[in-house]
Amino acid sequence: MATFGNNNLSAKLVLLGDMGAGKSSLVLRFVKGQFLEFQESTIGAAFFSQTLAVSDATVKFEIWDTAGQERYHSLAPMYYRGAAAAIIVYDITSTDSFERAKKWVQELQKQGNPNMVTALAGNKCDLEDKRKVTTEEARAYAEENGLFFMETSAKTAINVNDLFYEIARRLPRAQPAQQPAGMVLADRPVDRSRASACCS
Amino acid sequence: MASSSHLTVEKEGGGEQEEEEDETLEEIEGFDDFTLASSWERFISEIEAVCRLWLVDGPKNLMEKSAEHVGSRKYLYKVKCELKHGIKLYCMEYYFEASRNGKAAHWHDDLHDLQLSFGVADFLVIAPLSASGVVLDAPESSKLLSAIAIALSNCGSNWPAFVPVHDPSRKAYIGIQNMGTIFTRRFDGDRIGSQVPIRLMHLEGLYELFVSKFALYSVDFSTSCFKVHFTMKLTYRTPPYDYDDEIESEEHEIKDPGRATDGLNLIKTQWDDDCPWTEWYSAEDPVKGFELIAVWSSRMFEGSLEMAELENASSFDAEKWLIYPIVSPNMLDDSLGKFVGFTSQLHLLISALDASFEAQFLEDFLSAENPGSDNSKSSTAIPPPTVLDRVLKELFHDGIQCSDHVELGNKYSRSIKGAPLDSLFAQFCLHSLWFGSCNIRAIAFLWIEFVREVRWCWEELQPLPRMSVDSNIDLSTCLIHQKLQMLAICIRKKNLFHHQNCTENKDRNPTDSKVDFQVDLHKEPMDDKSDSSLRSDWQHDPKQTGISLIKDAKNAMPSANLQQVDQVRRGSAGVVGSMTLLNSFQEMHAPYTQDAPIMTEDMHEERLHAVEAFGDAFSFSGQLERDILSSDMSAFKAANPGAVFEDFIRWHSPRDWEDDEMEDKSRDDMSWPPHGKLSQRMSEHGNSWRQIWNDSPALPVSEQKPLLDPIREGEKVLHYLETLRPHQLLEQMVCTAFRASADTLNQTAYGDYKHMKTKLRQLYLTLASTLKPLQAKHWPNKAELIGDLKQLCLVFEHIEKLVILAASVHRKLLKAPRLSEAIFSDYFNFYLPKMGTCLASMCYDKEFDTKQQVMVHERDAVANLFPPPTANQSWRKVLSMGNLLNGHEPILREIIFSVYDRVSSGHYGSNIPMTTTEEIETHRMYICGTSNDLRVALSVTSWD
Repeated sequence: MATFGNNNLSAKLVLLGDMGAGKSSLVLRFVKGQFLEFQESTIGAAFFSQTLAVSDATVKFEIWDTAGQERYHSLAPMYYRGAAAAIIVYDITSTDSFERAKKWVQELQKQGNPNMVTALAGNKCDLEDKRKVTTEEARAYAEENGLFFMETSAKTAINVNDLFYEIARRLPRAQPAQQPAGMVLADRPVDRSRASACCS
Repeated sequence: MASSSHLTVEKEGGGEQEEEEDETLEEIEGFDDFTLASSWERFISEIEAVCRLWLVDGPKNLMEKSAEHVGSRKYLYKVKCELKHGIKLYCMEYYFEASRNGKAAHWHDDLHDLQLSFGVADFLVIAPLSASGVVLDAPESSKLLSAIAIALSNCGSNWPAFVPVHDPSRKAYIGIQNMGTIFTRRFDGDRIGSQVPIRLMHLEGLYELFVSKFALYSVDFSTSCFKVHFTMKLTYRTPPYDYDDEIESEEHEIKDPGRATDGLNLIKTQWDDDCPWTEWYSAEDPVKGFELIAVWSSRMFEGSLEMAELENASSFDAEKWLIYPIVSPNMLDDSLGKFVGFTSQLHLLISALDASFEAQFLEDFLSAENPGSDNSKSSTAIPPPTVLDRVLKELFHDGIQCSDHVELGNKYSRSIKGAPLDSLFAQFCLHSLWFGSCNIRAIAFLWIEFVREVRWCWEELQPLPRMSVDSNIDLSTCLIHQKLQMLAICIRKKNLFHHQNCTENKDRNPTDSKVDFQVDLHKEPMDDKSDSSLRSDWQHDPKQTGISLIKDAKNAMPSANLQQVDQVRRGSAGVVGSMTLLNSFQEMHAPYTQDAPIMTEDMHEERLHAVEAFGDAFSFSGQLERDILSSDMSAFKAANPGAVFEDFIRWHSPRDWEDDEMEDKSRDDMSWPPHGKLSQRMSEHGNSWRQIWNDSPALPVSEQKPLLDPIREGEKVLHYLETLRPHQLLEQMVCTAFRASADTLNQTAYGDYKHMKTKLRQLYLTLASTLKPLQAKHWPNKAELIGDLKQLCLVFEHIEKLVILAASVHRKLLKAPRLSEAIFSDYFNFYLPKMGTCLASMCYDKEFDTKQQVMVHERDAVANLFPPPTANQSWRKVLSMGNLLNGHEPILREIIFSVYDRVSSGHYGSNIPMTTTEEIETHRMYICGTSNDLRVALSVTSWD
């Protein structure tokens, strides 16, 4: 969950997606500015942190990069539990990875924190000639599910920082309202009940 | 009129009096006004002055100034003033309607009693300020009435004026109205409170009563042309529940003393037998009955025989049916202890939470030294052992089969950190709500016994009841539930382990056939389970990778046979599709793998904290997954002797195996060795996957060190349960009890009431956000939080009551869903201001009486609310009025008779221009009667 300090926000962020979609590469590009042509397959999960300045506040991201292999799926709830933000990554050159991303979206909608800021990232957008998932299709899906969508490339750094900035920008707004909608927990009902009790 | 001479004098002097209202002033000036000679005349002038003021102001200004609303009536307002005559004080009230145009319909709901009785709109009432509030002697009343009449005609007003007479129970009035220069209307109303003559109980007699009035007054009319207008309103009330039923249910109550808790002995009938909350308590039916109003609109009658016919006519012939529920006053009374339901118990639970901070351990609450642990006090009493035994039996032994519960709670329910409704802990919480008086000592007592029972399950390897067989832990639930889930899994694993040992024993002693049989029975499903969980792991994209497990058990048989042939292969779960090993052309076998270790949220937190502390300097974060990977590799090696790393990757991480060419793919299945290579990232030098592969020994799952040690983890769970701090227990209980109570209410069948659905959804949101601070490790302001929780109880009470009402209305009008929803919606809107969502202030001294019109097709459903009386009932009741509905007499019959006459100018001076065609109501009679009282109000217009 995101927590506030004096204009300093600390937020847990988790990356989910199919294996080889480029989750680790995205994080590495964002945190260290590096890109490895052949990023080693993540075993389990990796932890990074990075601080961003957004307008008058700073956001410290605690990033959990998870493994994409199906085998580790059952461990994922441990990572997205309590996360303030999630990036679901797919590979634009693979329709399977897009389908997998949809499964993640469903799972988060069902199990995740309802106020979570969720982003859908179509990675490897530098490989335009091998594209299998059209931007329109992904954008339509994202809009339908209230996700915010970007196509990124960890290799060329296109949109990588923008993605994280946009999440940081959206975080405070996604905080739960102080008063829940609908019912008011005011003192009034008590007083009124007393009044009505003596009237009757 | 006797006062006519005064009247003219008054008229002359009227102008002066307007300016000089103060009597004392006059005296000082010494002016002797002879028109004010008597006190009676002064009284008249006083009345006149007040009336003039009211006339000048008009309704609009009066409303702004001092007029008050009359009861619940929407349009009616009144102003009043006090007057003195002699030694007597009088109170004059002017009732007027704001913004209603023209004459109201006959049976308008909003009518004041006098309006209804006499067919007037605005009116004056003058009554003595005495204990009885009526004028007791006849001369005084007529004097009073004349005084008003004079005053009113002086100001040229034609308000009707009324004076209450006789004793108050008769509700008798006399009245007079000046109607222009020609007509005067006189009013007279009275009531018989007992011994109504039989003749007047029937329509025929009442009709004759009315006719006799004008036949007497206006002899001019020939009797043949009476055209009497008639309209009638019948009110029926649903019969009370049969007395015999009540006795039965009370006996039932006594037979089952365990269920009965404080305040529940008042239940009359178990109307809510199949409602979801009856498992815990029985609610008072908030709908006491219905009142049905059948209205016959205006008709013309010419003889008493027609009236007699009408008395036998079916109520279904009435033009209009209106209905409204009689709602129990308890709905509106939310003083503590009045309503027994989830809310009252939750309230107690919150008090227990408050008290839970007093001690370190739950046992402290039970120890004798604890001050204030006086067992005699009901607030700290612990129920007797028999009750405890029953509760534990219900928790652990009854209805255990529901372990594979469907997720009943909606997604809103999940946002409350509790436990699913059917789970062991949620049931524990609900039971403890009703365990004794839900005080901290009773809860501590029950918890300790509960944990003891859980430990017994663990030690005896009995599956935990009411826990889902799902092998995952739901992290959105409360920690105790997670721990119990963990324990259930550990018991299952331990059991499996135990049975495996048994199997080995069996192999050694094949003679013991009994054990043999038993073990086989148990082992079979266990294997299936781990098998299927494994398959589900791997079946994600068989199309792409070409991997598919043979799912049919029969197909798996050959592999078991094969196992005997190939002694080296161990721990195989079956062949993987058509895949073959790269080096040996053997079929690839999928190994049995260990389930991923499961963790409760506290274990997680520990791990994440450690990782965050170390940062990403170490590859610590992946340690757990590294262990899993290593275990998988060992198992794969054991199941596939001679397999290489590439084989493992093809099975485990198929996208890291790249086919050379797309066109080769069709041949791929056939040709050997398969084309392809490891992905670049897997083939990098120093790849950690390969390192782990190299380090992993070939070991089937059965010989590996388990990723999750069930015995250790199980003991850890029990340790947690046994050493849980009281406040930690109570915090989780509060959340879970709120959630389980809301879930229970949410299961109620109440049809399709939109308002109710919305409110329930809002309730979940409110619960989730208010209960959230409870999860915090440290409470900055305990008193405030407890206060918030008590407020939450109030919110909960509103919803609980509304749900019960909704269910009650729904089940009573099952066949008229539109009507039942409309009725509920009316009540909901009536109740809404109580919930504090809107700013309008609301006085609840008023009863709910919004009526809903019954559509023609819904009449049958409504008539079913009036079951034909049983022999028992009809024996008791004497029917006397007629107009029966399914054998039930109306509780009230109201009739308005009226005759109209064409006004001819000939009666009075012909100098007054008068349209001869105008019809005026000459006689009007309002009759309101039951079988033992009768009220008659007559208004007569006459020219004199």
